[in-house]
Amino acid sequence: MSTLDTRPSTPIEVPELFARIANYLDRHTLVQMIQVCRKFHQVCIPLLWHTVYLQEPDEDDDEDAPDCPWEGDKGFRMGFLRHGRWIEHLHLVGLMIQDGDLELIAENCTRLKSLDLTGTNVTAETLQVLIHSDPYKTDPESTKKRKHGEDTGEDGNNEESENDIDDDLNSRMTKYRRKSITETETEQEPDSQYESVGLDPSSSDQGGDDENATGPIARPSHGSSSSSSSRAYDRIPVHRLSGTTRAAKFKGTPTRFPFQLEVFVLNKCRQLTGNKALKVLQLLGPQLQRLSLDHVVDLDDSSLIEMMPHCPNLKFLSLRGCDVTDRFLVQLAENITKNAGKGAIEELKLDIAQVTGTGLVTLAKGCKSHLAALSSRDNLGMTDEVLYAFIQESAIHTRESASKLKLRTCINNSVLTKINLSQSADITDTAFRTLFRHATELQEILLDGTKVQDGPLIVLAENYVRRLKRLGLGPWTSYALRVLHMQDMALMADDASEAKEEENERARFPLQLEPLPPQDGPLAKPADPIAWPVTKTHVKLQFETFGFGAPGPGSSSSRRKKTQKKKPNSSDQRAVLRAFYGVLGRCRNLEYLDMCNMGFRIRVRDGLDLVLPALQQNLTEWHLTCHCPQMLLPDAELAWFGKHFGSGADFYQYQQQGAGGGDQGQGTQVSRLKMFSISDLALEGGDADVYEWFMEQLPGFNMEYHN
Amino acid sequence: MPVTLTSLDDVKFTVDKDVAERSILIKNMIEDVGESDSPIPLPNVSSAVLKKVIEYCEHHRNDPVQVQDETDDPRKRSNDIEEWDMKFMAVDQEMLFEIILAANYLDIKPLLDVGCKTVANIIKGKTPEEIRKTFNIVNDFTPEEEAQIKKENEWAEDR
Repeated sequence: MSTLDTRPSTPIEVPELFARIANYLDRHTLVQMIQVCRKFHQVCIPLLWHTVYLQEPDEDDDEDAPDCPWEGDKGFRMGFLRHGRWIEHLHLVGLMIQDGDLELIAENCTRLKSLDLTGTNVTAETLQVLIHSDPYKTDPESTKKRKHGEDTGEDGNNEESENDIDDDLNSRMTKYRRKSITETETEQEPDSQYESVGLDPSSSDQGGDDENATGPIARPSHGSSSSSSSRAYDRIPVHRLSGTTRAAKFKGTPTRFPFQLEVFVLNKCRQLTGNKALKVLQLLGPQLQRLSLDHVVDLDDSSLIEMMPHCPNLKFLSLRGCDVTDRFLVQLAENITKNAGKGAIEELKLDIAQVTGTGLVTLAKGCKSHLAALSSRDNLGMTDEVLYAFIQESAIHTRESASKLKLRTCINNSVLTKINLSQSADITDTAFRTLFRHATELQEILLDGTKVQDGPLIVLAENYVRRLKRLGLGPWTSYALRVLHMQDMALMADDASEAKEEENERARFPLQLEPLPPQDGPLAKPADPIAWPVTKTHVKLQFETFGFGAPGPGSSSSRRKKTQKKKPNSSDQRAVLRAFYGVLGRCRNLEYLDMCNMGFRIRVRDGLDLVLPALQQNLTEWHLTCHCPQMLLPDAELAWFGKHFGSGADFYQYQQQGAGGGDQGQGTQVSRLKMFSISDLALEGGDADVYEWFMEQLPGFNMEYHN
Repeated sequence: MPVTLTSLDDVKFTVDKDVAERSILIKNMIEDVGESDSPIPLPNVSSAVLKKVIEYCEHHRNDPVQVQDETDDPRKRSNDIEEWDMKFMAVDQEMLFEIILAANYLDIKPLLDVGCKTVANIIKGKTPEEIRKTFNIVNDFTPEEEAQIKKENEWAEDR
């Protein structure tokens, strides 16, 4: 620890700490930081240039105004030359890509990981400038060889050799990458000191003048410093000029193959033809991991099928609005089955394509153990079978006999996390219900414009609520369900919070699952899902706001505290409570229920029995403490708890038979409740007999006293 | 089992072992040396700073071990500091820097993170000149260089 000897007085003096701090800075601050001094510049430039996002200026702006730095900003171009090597993510959305631009990227962005050219005017030829060579030997001949092997029926051998090829490709990729990075590192080390910044910007205007070679841009420790710098300044004017001739060859400057490139987005590139583009893109071989070709014309199945074997690591493929058909899906499923899952796509977007349910069934059957996300909005022929394909045990029953006998052997699917089936109006509730029951890891479900009713959603609620973190707007409110948007479902960090979260969600459902007839006043509100926030405190608040604050005026109990809230009448309140209990009664896996400070009274006659079917099963903790004495537990309730969560005995029978006949009270406990907490206030003024009986019924109970 | 720590200025602090072991450095020391009553010298930390650091460790003694988040984007958010930590970090700049250096030396990653976030928040919204003042830095750019840097990075300014 050499830094310790000098005892730095600020963390800025320790490089690793400075880097750590800089990581927290936003782009605007980084721009300020690089102007502070050389050292700051050196640390912050790579962070600033890590992601470059440029977008076409708004259409309202004058078309000619070079608002976007990509189009004709000299300063940006110079920065790009100098710092392009730090760029890992380059987004050039909707811009005019001019001659030479791709060369500029190819020569400078040696770390480029993802390139987004959405809405640009690139063509396959332009792409070829960037992806210019074929390091992975994807040329047609080797493809032919492979195909030939298949045709002659050497299946066993062929499979092996293909796997070998995959391994070979990957190892080759690793090798290339290591090489390319070390190359760039050594080559550009001297420049990172930013000693060359003293360049007079005006001198670059002149282009290839020889005197620039001796300009202040010298790279001291570089072997061929003068020639390389001269080349660097040759380039500038060429790229800056728009619409001129192609900046053909840069006198021996090698445009490097983008060995780090993994993500390519070419959505809505109007001048791009899919088939040609794929021919170029497949040169990326095993590097390619995510590819987006939404709304690209002239993209057909055969070129996709041809590309797939070259890109074994492709995990994400988006072909929205393309002309892909079932043929591709069938082939994809076949490949995956053949390669035992190797090279399986994990996320597939096929919205508004030419695919139908039939193809998706094949696909789902073939890759259900890999496919994590499927988006198939607005496609024709989406049937129940598509959903069943994800969860059905393969090939035990033939489809006809199975559907005739209504027999489906379903197995759980723990791979599928996202599914978008919007506008698939032919899928029935039964299919959704089955899917939701067996696909156990769903996180995002888009069912806009389907005819889903409440049934499947209740199944969903039962299965997933434990993991629900956020629930989209209003799915539960009515039969005319429109959207179910469930993003970011995730397991909560620890059990307690998970249970609480679960309880929160439970608490949110009742009023929405069983909507009340519209009423005036606060009760109409629960139907509005926005009013139901996620955190526990809020749920409580909401309950108060929605009229649980006090028992209704019809209540006979005299021991209650008035709240300031506007009170709905008690029948409204009870209706809501009934619904609430009803849903609690479906929460079979609920183990922890916290109803502290809920601000309403627990009364058997409000439908408390409704909770029994579920809460007797697994509930181990039930907290009912309350800081104000409005939630009392009168004798009847105490007796009820004793009966249904204790030994199953009935206090009133016991009372009739007299204290001697209490043998029926010694049975096993009918619930799993281990902890039950109520405040001592709740028992105030109650009958001592009931209390004693209660304690006897529930010897394992842990009563918590609160003041 | 309490542990005794000795600061740079020879002040002794006795803390619980689980508090002291929030520092990976101390944890490793204890593991290497084994249980012993002899105090652990921390020759790089002054008593004032060590007191603060112990305060932090005691408050966070029950925190779960941090999981390293390996996101692709190196830029992280700095606005997610807990309230207690925020108050804890509301010290003068000299102390803040000392705490960070101590956290680095003692290898207390959560404290280091909070400290770095706090510094990042101090930097945010400042002009280059203000940043120089904050860190006592001399501008070593020539005017031409400054102009050049401005030009090259203008794209990032207002987008």
